[in-house]
Amino acid sequence: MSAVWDFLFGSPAFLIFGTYTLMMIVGLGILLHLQLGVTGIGNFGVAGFWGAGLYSFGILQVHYDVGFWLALLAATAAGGVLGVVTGWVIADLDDDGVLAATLAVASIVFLAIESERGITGGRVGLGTIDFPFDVGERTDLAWLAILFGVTGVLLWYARRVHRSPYGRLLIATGTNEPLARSLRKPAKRTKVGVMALTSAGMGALGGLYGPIVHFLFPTQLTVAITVSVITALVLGGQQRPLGAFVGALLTVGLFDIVIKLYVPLPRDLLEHAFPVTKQVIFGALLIFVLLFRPLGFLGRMRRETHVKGLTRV
Amino acid sequence: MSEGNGQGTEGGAAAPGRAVIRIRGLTKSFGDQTVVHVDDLVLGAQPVEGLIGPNGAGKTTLMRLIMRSTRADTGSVTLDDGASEVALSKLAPHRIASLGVVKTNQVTQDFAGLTIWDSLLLAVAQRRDERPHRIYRERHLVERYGEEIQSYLDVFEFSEPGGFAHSTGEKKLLDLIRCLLLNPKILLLDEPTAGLPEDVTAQVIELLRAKVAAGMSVIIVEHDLDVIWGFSDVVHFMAEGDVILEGDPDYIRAHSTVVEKYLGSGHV
Amino acid sequence: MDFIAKAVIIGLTEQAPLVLAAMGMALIYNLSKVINVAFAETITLGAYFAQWVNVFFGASFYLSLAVSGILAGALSCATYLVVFRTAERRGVGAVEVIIISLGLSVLLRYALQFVFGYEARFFETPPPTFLKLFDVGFTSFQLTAFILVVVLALLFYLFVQKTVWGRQVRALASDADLAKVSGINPLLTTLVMWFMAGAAGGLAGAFWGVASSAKPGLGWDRFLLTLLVVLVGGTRGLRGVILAGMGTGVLLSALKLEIAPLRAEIVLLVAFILVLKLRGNRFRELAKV
Repeated sequence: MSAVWDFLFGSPAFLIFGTYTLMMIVGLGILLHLQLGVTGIGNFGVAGFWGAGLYSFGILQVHYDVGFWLALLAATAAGGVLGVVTGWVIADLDDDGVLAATLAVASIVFLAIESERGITGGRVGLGTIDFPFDVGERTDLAWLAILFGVTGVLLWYARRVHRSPYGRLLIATGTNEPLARSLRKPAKRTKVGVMALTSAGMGALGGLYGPIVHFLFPTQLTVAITVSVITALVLGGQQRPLGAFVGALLTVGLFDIVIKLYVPLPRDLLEHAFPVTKQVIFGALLIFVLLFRPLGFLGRMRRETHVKGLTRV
Repeated sequence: MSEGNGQGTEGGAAAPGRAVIRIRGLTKSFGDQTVVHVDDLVLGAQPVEGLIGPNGAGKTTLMRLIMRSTRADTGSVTLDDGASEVALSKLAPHRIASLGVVKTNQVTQDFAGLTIWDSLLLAVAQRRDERPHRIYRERHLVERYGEEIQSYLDVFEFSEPGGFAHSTGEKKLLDLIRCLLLNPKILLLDEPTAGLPEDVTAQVIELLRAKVAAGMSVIIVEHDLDVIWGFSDVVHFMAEGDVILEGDPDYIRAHSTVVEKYLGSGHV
Repeated sequence: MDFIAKAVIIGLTEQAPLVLAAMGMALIYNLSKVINVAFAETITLGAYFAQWVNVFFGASFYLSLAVSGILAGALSCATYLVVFRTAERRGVGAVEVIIISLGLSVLLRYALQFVFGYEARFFETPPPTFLKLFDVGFTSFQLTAFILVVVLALLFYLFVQKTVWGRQVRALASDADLAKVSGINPLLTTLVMWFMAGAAGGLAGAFWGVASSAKPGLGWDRFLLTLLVVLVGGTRGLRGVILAGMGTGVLLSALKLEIAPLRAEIVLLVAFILVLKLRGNRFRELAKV
């Protein structure tokens, strides 16, 4: 029994870090689900919104000694403001324009962090950022519990959105914007609103990631984050709130926790071939899922069950 | 340029309390081809107005220009309710719908992923119901509008009322009900009965008559001229982008030479 | 005057491959209405192919260039046949096709590392001569690249505008059904176009690669700028793309003469975003509500 315990939890630090990553991808995936799966906005700049929150949090904590809550609020606001601006830009654009604009926003965030070394530390990095509390050895575990809680709240909210008039407005705007407009729905404002809300969430998740890594580098904000989030969501099912969770378990959970921790791979394989193989598989998954099972593992929204529940009222 | 107003109609003068759409100098071209050029036209002065004409006369484009789902090259469209005049041609489409000018669609339109009930609840939901923090608002919506929605679903038979609209006909009806749920002042109908069986067409017309009696104005484009002759108070005849003849149905039918020139014989 | 001359010379010599890459991407965009994120990897692999021929066979850079163009063109056709044609046939939505192409981009970018290794690879070319014009220094190599890009861009332009193939491509792009009725073989025409596009991307990659090295992120790092040039210039056809590409190169070098390079890139991206915003959506009129 204790051998099993040791095998599973023998290296708790790695396990906890893997689970942090998993929770981040799930959280971002739920927010991307609201953008892409519900409102049809293909946001390819997830890393940018998340990074804006991460660095706002870090800059305020490191340079200005701002308290945790205020810094987290600022991280949320940074994501939100970036979301409003992006939403305003993309409200009129077709899918190609949305791709270009969201990629550009992520690029601008990345370039700004690299160029404004005075406050971001550039490639040298920015740190250190600590947990806002200290409960000894169990601090990282407590932080993980908090992340579980936050992800849980996001999941609960996304599920509620599906059952609310707001969710219906988002779906309508995403599937037939001109028709929605003809029914009094302000499509542009709706898009700006959902971008603001969900990007604020991404910013907040960025802020919560700060204490985990202690030290911030621009390389943490590469497109790999965005690709992981999109892969998880698409694989799990972009139209379902649980899609990101299921998809993240099957991708990040499998690679960054199960294989990394429990499969004895030689060190040089782990350093080079493993991460490269992981990306190759992510890329292949995106292609195969969207070609042959476009709605992923969980399939389409089940609106009719919701409606049946309602009309029985 | 219209040739005359015929008997019993006073083009431009609104019936008391009835809002009208005024169109002035409206033009729209696609490439070299001018599709609409209407100098001066008032729609909605009478409860039911028909808009007829050959294919390519610009009927649908005119309606889309009113709704601003396509942009005009020149000219203005205003909504005049007797007390004030609002320039529709400067408003976003959703604002036009909010002012009570609503249109059904010639080409079948639906929201993929939304059920029939979803679609109708979407139509009735007000902006305050659709705020991101109102995540428990659904019950209120059903309690407030459920009966009204059900009353429409009782009139028309859907194969799966709790699920999705399947056939083109069902989607067409759904489009109409969505518009009616908005309680429009002026409803523009673009071929509302095309593709519907005769009995359902009769149901649609009967429902529309009841709505008109309650104060709604209807402007209808329809290829089935029997519907036009039987339903309209005034008919506008469009050809080559302009209204060339207007008057009551008898007046238009009396000008059979004009109508037959464009529509072919046997229509009057 | 001096400033403008400097900006123009630096912009055109440094960003000449951008014009070529954008022309390639625009060809696919205009015909298949596909924004192909994996075009980034066609660029990258162009660099790798050229480097491989150059070093492994000891071929001159110009011969490597020709082989690289052909291989990149073939790769582009293969991606069309295997991935994009399947997506087309299965009626996959617009956003989904973009995500599929992102998947293909990631797949190729990492898979190529198994073949060519994880490290950057360098060309073996004779050292260039340094030249000067209006006080601006550039290498003989950049000058050759610029001249070659101009010639290739011109050939591309003439191919699309003046040849039978080009006419068929344009006919297919404007009305696929009508084109089929008038005897155009859509698959062959589409493949010719994807080949041309891939060749253009591959050549751009080879030019970029020889100026630094062939590395996995080469195409991706230049993808966004290429995409923006296509979206902004593409509405006015290939000529628009060429002008937008050259304009971007000159503007970027002008900005870099005045402010720090990274900030210059930020300003350029903001400018592009504003242009996209102001131009709005070209397809809005298609909505039939």
